[in-house]
Amino acid sequence: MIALIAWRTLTHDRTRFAVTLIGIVFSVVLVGMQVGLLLNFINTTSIIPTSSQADIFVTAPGVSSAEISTPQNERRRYQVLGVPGVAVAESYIVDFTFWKRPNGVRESVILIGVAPGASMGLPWLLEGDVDGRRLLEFPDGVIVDRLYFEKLGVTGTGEMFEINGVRARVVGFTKGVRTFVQSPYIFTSLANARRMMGMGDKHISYVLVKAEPGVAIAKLVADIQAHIPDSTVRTTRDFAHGSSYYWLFTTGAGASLIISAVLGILVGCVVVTQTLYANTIDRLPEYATLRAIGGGPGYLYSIVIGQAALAALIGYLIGIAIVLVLVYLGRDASASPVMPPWLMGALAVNTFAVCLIAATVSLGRLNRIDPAQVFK
Amino acid sequence: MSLLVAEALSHTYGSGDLAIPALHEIDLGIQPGEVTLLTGPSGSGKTTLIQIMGCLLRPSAGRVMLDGHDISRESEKKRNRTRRENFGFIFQANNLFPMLTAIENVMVALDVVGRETKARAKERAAELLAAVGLGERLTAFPANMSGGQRQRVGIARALAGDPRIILADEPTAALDALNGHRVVTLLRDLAHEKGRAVVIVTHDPRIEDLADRIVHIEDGQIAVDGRKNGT
Ligand SMILES: Nc1ncnc2c1ncn2[C@@H]1O[C@H](COP(=O)(O)OP(=O)(O)OP(=O)(O)O)[C@@H](O)[C@H]1O
Ligand SMILES: [Mg+2]
Repeated sequence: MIALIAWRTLTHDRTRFAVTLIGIVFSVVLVGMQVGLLLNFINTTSIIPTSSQADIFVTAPGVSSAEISTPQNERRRYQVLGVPGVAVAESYIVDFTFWKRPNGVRESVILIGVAPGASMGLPWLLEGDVDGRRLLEFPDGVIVDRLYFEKLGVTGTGEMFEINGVRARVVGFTKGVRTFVQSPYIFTSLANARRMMGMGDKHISYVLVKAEPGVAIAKLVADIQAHIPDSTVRTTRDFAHGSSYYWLFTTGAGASLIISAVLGILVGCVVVTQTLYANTIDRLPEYATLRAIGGGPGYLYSIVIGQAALAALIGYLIGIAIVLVLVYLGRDASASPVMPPWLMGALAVNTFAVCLIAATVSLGRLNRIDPAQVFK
Repeated sequence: MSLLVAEALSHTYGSGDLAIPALHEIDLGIQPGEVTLLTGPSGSGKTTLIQIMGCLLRPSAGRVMLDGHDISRESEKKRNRTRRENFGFIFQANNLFPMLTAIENVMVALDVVGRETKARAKERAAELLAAVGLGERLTAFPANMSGGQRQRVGIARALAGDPRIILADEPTAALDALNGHRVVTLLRDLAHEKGRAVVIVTHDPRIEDLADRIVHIEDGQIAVDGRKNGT
């Protein structure tokens, strides 16, 4: 009976119901897209460490983001190899540089150099059944991502371009290696990278470390740090978090995404509060009657909470459907939101919480109902 | 034997300079099986009296006895239960949910008083509506019913908890003579045939013929208390 009253009260005034749903749907879509974008941003800003399969990153001091490296000497790698517990230590180059399209237009790119024989930091999401190590063996060879064909002026393999004035040949593709700074990742060998960047042959950006089986990573980090005090040693996870944090909070991108999400929550809350309150005020004499005939306050609360829950349910279902369509449509965009199941669940919980919070104002009003007023 | 008894009941709204005296030391016993009319000029305290006797308002002084207990001093929770188990209320504005049908409005009351199982509730609501002559209008919405029909839905709802005492405030004020007569006849039958105690506050001289007892109130006090057959 309570569900019936809740449903009929909620839908009695069609216009009001429509406005309520629009408010909740707007809120779900806004919050969903913003958090989805935020998540994508966090994923892409930490993609270099998280895709590397390394346990530990050794960087020059003060490096806070994987994209913005400070050069180190390859001697570091041998120092790291001397620390007990280190199974593999490999050199890695990550740096911004310029790509020149055939028409002369320059585009900023992030060049990633990795030794062809490496076990960590190899190109991920390679397209087709190819061996990334073989592609890296080509002199001049570079691997680009399909998402950025247009931006880089690439149409297929074998095409020649210039990176920082040095010849480069497209030898393979990745599919879906997204960047967040509009500078696509270009994979090549360590030697190519050094040549293209005009660096000495001892130059590296990072040492990627794999621990021996059974070695505690935290302990190994401390040991390497003690051994090489003039570097910064972090677990891959810490470096990933650090990178995300850097881009989120030094650029303001994070703040604006978070503010939009909070705004979405507020809009939903205000709209639902208004509707539930208006619905409650409209039915005060009936509610007073229920109190007079012996209904407890809980009975009235359930009617309002029922309305909040129904509005949340319908609004969420429509909202999440729209979000999923938008995520699907934007799947190839460079900043496409991600929507893992846990986030959909979190959005559902958030929507219900917002609607329940919105109900509290009405509950307060119901609490003040005087059943004696039925005889006025 | 009185079922519901007011003893030295006084009530004042507000306090200090703003105090409005509404009732002054009223003694009144309500009998089962009869219709008691409360009459009196506007502002004389009739509504205040049935609010207090119906456990909806606490008196400033005095007691209201039901089954040997003073129900006016019980906790809110107990008073809620006392209303649920003993009282049926009928008012001028019948306060039906506009988005529920006649039978659904009665079913809500059955749900609140918790007397029937879910399965039985629909059947019982239909019985209650049939008893007030609305067996054919079960699925009508209040907006599509006449004032008299709505008032009768209100009566069916008031009877959901099978109350021993029915308190009605101006139940005929919004009705024409025919419908008014019909509603009061219904209430009289409940008193005479089912032994309920029925109290009706009214300004309506047309229904005085149907009463067993008329209590006239003036300035918060009982001015006249007369029975038809002079007991
Ligand atoms: N909630 C209230 N607050 C303050 N004064 C009130 C309140 N309710 C009633 N009164 C006052 O108490 C007195 C008795 O009012 P009550 O409503 O009981 O009279 P009544 O006999 O029912 O009148 P009517 O025939 O007009 O309905 C009146 O002076 C009225 O103004
Ligand atoms: Mg009155």
